[in-house]
Amino acid sequence: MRSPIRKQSEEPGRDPVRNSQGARSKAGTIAMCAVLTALALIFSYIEFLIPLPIGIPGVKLGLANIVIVVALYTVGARYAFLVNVARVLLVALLFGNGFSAVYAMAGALVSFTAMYIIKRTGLFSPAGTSIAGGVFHNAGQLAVAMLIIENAKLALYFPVLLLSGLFTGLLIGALSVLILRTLLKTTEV
Amino acid sequence: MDKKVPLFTKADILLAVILLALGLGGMLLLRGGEGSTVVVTADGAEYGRWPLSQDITVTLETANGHNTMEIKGGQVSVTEADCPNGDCVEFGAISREGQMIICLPHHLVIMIENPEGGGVDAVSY
Repeated sequence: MRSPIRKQSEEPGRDPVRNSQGARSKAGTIAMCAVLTALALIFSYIEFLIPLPIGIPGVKLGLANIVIVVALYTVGARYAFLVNVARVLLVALLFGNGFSAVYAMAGALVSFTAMYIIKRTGLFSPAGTSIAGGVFHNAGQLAVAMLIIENAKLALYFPVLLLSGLFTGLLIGALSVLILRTLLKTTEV
Repeated sequence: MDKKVPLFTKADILLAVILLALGLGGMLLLRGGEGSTVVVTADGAEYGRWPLSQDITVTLETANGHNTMEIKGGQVSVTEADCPNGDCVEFGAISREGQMIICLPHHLVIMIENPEGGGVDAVSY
């Protein structure tokens, strides 16, 4: 909801992009999305520069997913989806290659769908959402790999990817919860 | 929002435990015995096969690039490749049936099989 009352925004400690009802204006949401996209991009870049050694080939921590989880719980699913797609496209454009973009997009879309469904149930914390995201990200990438490489035996690698998705998702999820707690306290997102 | 965001709910823990069990169970179930043959597949078609018992270094040339595969002491690894990420080298050396080295950019899969006994689906301890 939009409010014409400008005075509210000048009160100290008040989020300037909120109206008197505490709802974020559309412009405020878009600004927040831009910040989130930039942050996701930086996280992807950090991981591209310094690949954290997890010990499993092809597996990354997925730092950028912190941003997507936070976005889901702040700006909502629709905007979080746009941030996610924008992030993948920008990463592919800036420091990816054609081949990595297909896998990244597949992982991102499958992961997002899983996280959206898990969140909708209302039973899980952002950590649970993130776990589902991690596991389904890997599942999506493996499915695309099976199609591209034309080798169904790749499915044998799934248990390894399931476990790595679980652990990275858990870590990212716990971080997201801590961030959300602080974020919700200070800006009442 | 006045409610604190929970770190873990019961559903989270249940989900994590189920996934953990599935992952570990799957790994245990798919864990093969000693392998005997290295089977290389490129773009879904068999590229070649080599006995795991014979030390050899082969350069696998595919339409997308090359990978240098080394069979040494009953283990196979990729020592060098011209792919952009180098994941195949990171896989390290493998020797058990069902284990694989995957090179996504080159559409290449190096897998250990055991045509004489059992199959990948066989459970062995």
